[in-house]
Amino acid sequence: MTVVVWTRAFETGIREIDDQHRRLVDYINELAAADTGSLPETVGDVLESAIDYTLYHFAFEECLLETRGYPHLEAHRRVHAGFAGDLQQMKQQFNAGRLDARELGGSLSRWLFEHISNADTAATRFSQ
Amino acid sequence: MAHLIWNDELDTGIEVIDGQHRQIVDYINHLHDARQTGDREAIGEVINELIDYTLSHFAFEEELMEEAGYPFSRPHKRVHEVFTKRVGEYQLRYRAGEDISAELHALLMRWLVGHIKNDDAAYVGAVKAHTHADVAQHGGWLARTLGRVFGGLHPATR
Repeated sequence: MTVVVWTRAFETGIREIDDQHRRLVDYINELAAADTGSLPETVGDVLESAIDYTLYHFAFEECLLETRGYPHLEAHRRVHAGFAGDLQQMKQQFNAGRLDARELGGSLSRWLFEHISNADTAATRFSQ
Repeated sequence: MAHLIWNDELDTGIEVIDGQHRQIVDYINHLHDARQTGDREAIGEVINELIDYTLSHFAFEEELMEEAGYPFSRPHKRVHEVFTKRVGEYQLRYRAGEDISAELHALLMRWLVGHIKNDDAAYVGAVKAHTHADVAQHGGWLARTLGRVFGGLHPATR
């Protein structure tokens, strides 16, 4: 099941950032596609990769904004840090069996919409 | 967990970088093998070698990107720093007696594939264009940088 379909509305115009967002969309769809028959280890691996990649994306984006003199960098960083914390909690809940892959995919896709449409678009448009 | 097997999808098309990535794959597989023996000292040694080599690879890659004028060199470098810190923490935990080798091995397997397919794919175009534009100079620079960053470690400098 595909929960997020990439559209041009997501594009920030910075290729590197768009590629990274696309990659996050792929992870979310992969998680959402996992059904009750999927092995927890397999889903766990995708989740770990999705978390690693999100943290990678945050570090990349923060540095890009920093080099371009974005004035609300600290606020942006804080939003990222908050979400990184949420991800760790989701992982713990998943490991404890309190959250399934579909729910994870759903939470992540809600976050991604917000991340791209608000903070990111504003920030990257500013920096062009 | 099985060995990581190189496949064509992992080729960036930049020979020197592909050689380094293959070397990292070998180290990751050595870590797998060392874990099977359960020899703590041997595992620690592979972890140290693997991390040393990866840091040299990062330094080399950063210089290649800067030389090519890749506009996202700094964010790319930042990502390297974050990863370096993360593996450094594992290294310290191992030295302190904690057995993190399985966790580290899993992290490295995930990381390498992501690093090559996503992070590195982004700068390949810029580096290739630069190489074509200035083949002679680049060749000299490449050899010098390989020698400096890897010393005697790198197969291409032996």
